[in-house]
Amino acid sequence: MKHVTGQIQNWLSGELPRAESRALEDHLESCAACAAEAAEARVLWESLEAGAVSPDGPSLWPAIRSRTVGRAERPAWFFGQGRLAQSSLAVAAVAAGLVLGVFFPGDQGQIGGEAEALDTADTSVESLWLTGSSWAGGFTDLQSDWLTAGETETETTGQEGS
Amino acid sequence: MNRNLDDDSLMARTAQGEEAAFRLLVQRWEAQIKAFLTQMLGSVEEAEDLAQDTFVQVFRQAGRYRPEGKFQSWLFRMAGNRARSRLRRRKILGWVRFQPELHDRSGGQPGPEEHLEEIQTSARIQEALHRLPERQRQALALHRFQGLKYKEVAEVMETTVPGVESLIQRAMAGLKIELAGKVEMS
Repeated sequence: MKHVTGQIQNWLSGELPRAESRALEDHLESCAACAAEAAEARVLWESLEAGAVSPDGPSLWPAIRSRTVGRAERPAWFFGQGRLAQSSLAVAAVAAGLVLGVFFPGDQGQIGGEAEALDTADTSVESLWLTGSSWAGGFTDLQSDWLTAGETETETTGQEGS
Repeated sequence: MNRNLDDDSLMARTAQGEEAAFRLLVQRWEAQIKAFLTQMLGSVEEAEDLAQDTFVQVFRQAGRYRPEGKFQSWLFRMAGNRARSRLRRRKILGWVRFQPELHDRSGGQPGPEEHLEEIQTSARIQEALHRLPERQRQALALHRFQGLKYKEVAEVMETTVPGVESLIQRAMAGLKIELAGKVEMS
């Protein structure tokens, strides 16, 4: 029997008819070259097992169901069931956004305005607290003293510098 | 629902709108389809996306399905077509991705060193598989990993049995070169 290298893969794959398979095995027993080739091919074939994947994870059924049999459960008046209905909904949403933008443009100076409002609010809270406390008068006095001292210092520094 | 019903009967019932029949079909085949698509694409996320799409297509085409006892071939053909078109799109985008962490198969709980070695071997084999031409990889994935006979692979890939033989022989020759010295072969 001539060499069987061309049939080794089919033999490993279990695709040879029984008679051919037996003839090949007989040949391997008497031919060292073919036997070596078959041994190498078998090792490679078996090592492929390490490359098998077994993806874990949850079943795809819930997702598949929602895209197939579950679609019938969705009320037609809510989103519509066709692409046309969904596209129309998207266009309507964009149009509504534009209309709102035109009729309620917002305050141009909104950021500065807010900051100002915050300052005012802080000041008024402070004032309210100070006004309502027994420190109110004292604070005003302290403030005047501090301002007077500052002015005096500035004058002194100014004189030194000139 | 009788769980022993064959795929063709389940398809006929799916076409009549029986949810339980369709659910049984999905549960029967999803693991194999996910594994096959993961082999083809090297990405679990993409494989799950495409597996979903494949089953949605099964549902939509249930009414047109001809019960000839070839559901498996029909299903794998649809999945394979989707994988190939995704691979073509990837080629256009110049994006190739491989996730070695997918191949962490620690079922036997070996020690850390053996575990690492296993992961490395698995990753090398997967890399080599991903370097094979698309059709060779598909034929090998269907035959070696999904257990389809050459005749069934030929049906899925719309080719002949000698065509499948040739694809698998070339794939193995390619892997032999790719893996020479990289995987323990003794």
